Amino acid sequence: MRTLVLGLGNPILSDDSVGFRVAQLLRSQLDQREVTVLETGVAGLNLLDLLVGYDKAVIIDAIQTVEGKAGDVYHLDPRDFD
Amino acid sequence: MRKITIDPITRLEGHGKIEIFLNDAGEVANTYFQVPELRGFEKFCEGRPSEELPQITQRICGVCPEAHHLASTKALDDLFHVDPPSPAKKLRELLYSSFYVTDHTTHFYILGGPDFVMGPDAPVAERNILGVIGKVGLELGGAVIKTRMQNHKIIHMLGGRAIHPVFGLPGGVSKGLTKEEIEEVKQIAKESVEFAKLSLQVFDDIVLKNKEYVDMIVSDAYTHRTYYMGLVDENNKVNFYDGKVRVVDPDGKEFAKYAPREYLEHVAEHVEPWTYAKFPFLKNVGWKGFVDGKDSGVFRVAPLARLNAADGMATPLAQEAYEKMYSTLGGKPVHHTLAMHWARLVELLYAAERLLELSQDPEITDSNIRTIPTAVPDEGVGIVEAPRGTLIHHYITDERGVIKKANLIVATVNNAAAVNMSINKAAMALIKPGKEITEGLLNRIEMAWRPYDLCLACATHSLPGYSPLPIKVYDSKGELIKQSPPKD
Repeated sequence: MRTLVLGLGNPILSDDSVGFRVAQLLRSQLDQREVTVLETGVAGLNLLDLLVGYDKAVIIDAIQTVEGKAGDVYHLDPRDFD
Repeated sequence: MRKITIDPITRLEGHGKIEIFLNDAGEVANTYFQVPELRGFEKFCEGRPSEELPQITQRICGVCPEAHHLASTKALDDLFHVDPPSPAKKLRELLYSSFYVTDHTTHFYILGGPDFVMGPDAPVAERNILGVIGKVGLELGGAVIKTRMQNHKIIHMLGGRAIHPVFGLPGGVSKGLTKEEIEEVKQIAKESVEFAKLSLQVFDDIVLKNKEYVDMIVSDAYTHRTYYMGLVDENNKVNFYDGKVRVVDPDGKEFAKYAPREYLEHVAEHVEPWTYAKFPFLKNVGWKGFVDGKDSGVFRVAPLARLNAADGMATPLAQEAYEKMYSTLGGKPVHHTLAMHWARLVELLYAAERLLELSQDPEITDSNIRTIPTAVPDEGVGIVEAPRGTLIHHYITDERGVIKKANLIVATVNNAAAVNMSINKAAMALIKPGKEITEGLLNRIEMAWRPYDLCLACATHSLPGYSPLPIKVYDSKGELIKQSPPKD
């Protein structure tokens, strides 16, 4: 099983850098033989290139919600996007 | 007066909006395709060293940076009066062919194709890439992703990274290909040719075998008799990277053929107060408003226009596909906007075949990839065919090569007048008094611009990510009466 941890965002755009930073922190704590950790600023279709070849992907990103407060953490799985 | 706003329009690069104004009787009074952003790239290029422009100008877009990068690099060749060695030109064209494979693949399967593969009236939740993969099968879906990824790899090999390459220099390129790398390129090229053939087969099976779609393609609502423009090689065959600009009239007769330096003798720009986009037109015909026909200077660019403006394709399989398209649609030129999707696939096959040819060229691994410029710079023009049409970069510098003036005419802008006309014609044909304005109907209006593969050249399109698409319908009092669910 090949797993990808992918941090999304823009490192110079304050809150939007959270995905980047979490991925960087995780890198030192995860076994690199089992998990690949990547950070990227690309979005949309270009993400497909990064996802190809993995069985599982954990994507970390900042989102804006109507009710939420800054700092809230959401765990979403594919069913949440139905 | 009722107002219908499609804002922001989906499945395009950048931002734009379409507003449709109805009169009291419920008929279309007018339509506006607006680009409400001003980028100012030409202005902030002033004062920069010209060598930086292939890096700066490609930031206009995260989708087609390769087109700007090479148009800019060619403008620098001209500016510094230097002719790059043959292997450098071939490497540039090789990178560009790979880029075309990725870009045309993206448009057919992800941006434009869903309308046909899923049908214009399919629910929005299915009219997207996931719906397409569901219909054409996971295997082909996987091939779409693989083809894009492999060709991005070639761009990465030469450009140093997958996006915004660091590659073109005045007089050549920064890096060549090793013997090992070229073997991989050959393999990718072969697979890309097979993928392009398969894509034309998919188009044949899904679109051409469906009478309803073919009737729609040739219907008057999606037809304009205009001039067509595209780069051609010395045999008048389609070329993406280099050559002369050829323009044919609505009857398909050659109207003009000129070198990049002469573009200002042929193209002028019309300005309207309601949009930041300018409207280029043929100077020697004149601006007669948003109308088609031989007396109007409106011309079109992009895949169908390139095929119309040329005498054929320079590779054998693409030539076959080209002939099939014209014989099916009743000869040249083809004026049906929706045939742009077909022409794009013919070009996909050409790009893949050309990639294979270049990868097999003995010169391609030659280390002579740069001629150092020695002349004093003054003025330069570079033209390439971006996937979305003719792209012009024009720079004027002082004797140190510092930019005094830059003029960029991007592909989508070349099509701006025609896009307005296409939206207007489709809206007039489809919106009728008393007829309910359904989502399918609004999508059929969007289908009038989608073939142009608009790139409103927007660096912001990756933030905040995909915008939801509220299609808003207002009644005569300006109140919202209908809103479509978000798309994409």
